Amino acid sequence: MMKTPNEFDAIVVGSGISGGWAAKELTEAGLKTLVLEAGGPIDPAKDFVEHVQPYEVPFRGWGDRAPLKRERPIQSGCYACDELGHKFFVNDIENPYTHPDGAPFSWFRGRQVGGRSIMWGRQVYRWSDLDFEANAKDGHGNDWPIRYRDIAPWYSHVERFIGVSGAREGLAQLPDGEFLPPMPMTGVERAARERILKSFKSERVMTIGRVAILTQNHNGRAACHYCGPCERGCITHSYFNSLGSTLPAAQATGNLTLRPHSIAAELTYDAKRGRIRGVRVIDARTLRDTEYKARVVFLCASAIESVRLLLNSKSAHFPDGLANSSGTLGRYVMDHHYGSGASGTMSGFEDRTTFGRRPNGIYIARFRNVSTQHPKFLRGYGMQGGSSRRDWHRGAALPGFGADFKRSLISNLDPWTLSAAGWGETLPHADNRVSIDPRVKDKWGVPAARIEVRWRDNERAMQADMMTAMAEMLEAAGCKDITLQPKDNPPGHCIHEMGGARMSATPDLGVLNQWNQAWDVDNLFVTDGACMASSACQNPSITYMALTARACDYAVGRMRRFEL
Amino acid sequence: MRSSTSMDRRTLIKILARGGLALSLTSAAAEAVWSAVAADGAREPRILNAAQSDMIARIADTILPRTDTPSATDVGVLSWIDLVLAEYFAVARRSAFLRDLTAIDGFAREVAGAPVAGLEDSRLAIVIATLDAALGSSSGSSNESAGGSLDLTPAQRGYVHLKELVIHGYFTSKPVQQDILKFVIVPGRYDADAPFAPASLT
Repeated sequence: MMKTPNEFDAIVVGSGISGGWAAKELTEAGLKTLVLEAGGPIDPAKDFVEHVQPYEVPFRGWGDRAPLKRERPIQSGCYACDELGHKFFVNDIENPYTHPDGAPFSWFRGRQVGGRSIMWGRQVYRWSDLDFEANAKDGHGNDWPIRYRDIAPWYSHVERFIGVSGAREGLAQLPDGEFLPPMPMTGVERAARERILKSFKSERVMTIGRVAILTQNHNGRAACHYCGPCERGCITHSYFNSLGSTLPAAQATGNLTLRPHSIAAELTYDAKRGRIRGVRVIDARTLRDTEYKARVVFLCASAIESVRLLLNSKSAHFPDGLANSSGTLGRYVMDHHYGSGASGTMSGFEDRTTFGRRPNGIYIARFRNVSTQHPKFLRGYGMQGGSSRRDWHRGAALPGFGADFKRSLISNLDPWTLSAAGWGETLPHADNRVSIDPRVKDKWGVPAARIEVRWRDNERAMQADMMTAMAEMLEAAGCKDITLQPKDNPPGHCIHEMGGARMSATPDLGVLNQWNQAWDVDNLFVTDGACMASSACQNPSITYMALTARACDYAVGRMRRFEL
Repeated sequence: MRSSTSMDRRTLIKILARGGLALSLTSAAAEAVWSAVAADGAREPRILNAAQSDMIARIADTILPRTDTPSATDVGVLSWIDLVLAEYFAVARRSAFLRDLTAIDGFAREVAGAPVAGLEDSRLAIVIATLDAALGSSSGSSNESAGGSLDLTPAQRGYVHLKELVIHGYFTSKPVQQDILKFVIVPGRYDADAPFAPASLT
């Protein structure tokens, strides 16, 4: 039967990390697929600003404070939302959300084709069974319905396409992937790695960051040219983002319809058939309502946006939000708590520096609660950091003036500094949750999210340990002037929000089954961070990508068998 | 309890007793700097009056003087600071900064007998050395911190903030980025272990 212009085989909500993958996999399987993106299109030639220099903008990179404060008071708390990159972050006034007094949540968001894959951190680490079994072992949260063996082939599938550079280490808790050649470590980092390995009997492993940036040409994309600020875009698409990788692949099939400026306001539910009928969309520019229909719908709008959409999709059958028969929708929301660590200086490398700007750092694989139980906290953390020598930037805080001072800033460098900070796992708690704030609507009339997430004792204890453990490692590495660096970033600040529509082994415990398919609605899949039942400590995006590809494969198979 | 001002005065007396600091500018260079200031000020300032502009220019070029590389005002730091004051600083912060500038002048009068613009280079260098000593005990400031360390006097605070503006404005300017630092926008490769020797530029 002919489809009307508003009917598709599949609808994908969101065009970022997960949405791009859903678009690629579904279109390559032959499905006519509509991708709905709330924001506008991006033209890399015009919008990417990674090569713009500070003297080309009025405030030399500090940001245009007044409009940033007026329009992006929350977003500007993110390092990447600066004078050049702010365009990739939402207007906070148009996109409000609320949180309880005294429980701030930093919700950093990007609405554009490519979503937050434009300015993401690009660090990609596989999870292991240490992570997938954690909930079951210590009783926090619910057991994941999958294990590492279920997702491992899909990690490979994703890595082969996006290109991940990294070093193989053979660690059970941080499985190796299919890597492009690693970026090199500095002499300081190599020395520190060896000294730490020796001091801690190979328990603590410092490796180069595993990163979705190409160290050689790959799948039609050019190798990194080491200009530095990836978060402002990349004209050569050398780091993975959906705009330069998955969406073009989807486009090439002829099966993709990409619709920017399309705000998914509600999923429409056909109670008679027990299925999603489609998506009610508000055109962001005309405010016109349109319903798009499809056999299957993939939510890839980001964890909180997808949960918000489900909560806003109420019906007589689902009065508390779509696919919420378990009552868990919106609950068990997590982020990584991060930033506490230590730094020190290292001598012996005064005659060395770097050329080029490596958009990557070092990673210290999780070592807490891997083989022995720490007395003060459950789960663990990885550490991210790097070594550097400060150039003129040190001048403002340095005593001195005059010709010698100027000469020093121009021609000399500080001693090498080595530092790292922890990215810690957050326990899933039912009352860390997203709900709908009935008092607040966004610019387009869609009820806003209310986010209530707090760090608890386990996270606090882990943060303290991040500092002392890093200081121990710096000391073992031979560093001097070691400084503990406490951080108290609010939840959300790590931009790794997860949970709210978690996967579960049984329908009473979660929203999604082992295929990211809603227990309550067969033709609904949620494959972004909302699906996560625990947070692990690794950067999560590659897991979203792998789960998305896996879910698409499952959905396509069922559709081919006319089971969906 | 001793006031910070009295401590500064004692520091100043010690410096004077040692015969003062070496001049960082020759008179010819100073003259050239003044020419540059005039050129720098060609764009009508929006916030700074003539006296404030003169004062900032003197301090800026004492921090980063002209040598075989340009001085602060040579590369337009003065007009950039005026832009920051006009459009980047919030009203309250701008007012505080201008008050602290006045305090710097007051401090110069107190310890050297004249406002900054009226001081000879050698005496200005001594005033700045005294104010700069605050950085030895301060954690410095960031572009977002309006107040700086709590233990600073208004003159010290004004100097610390001004120095930050001068250094950021200088090193992010096009002439310095391109011709002095020779910043390579597209390196094309990454060398994690490149040899380093301090450059010969001054």
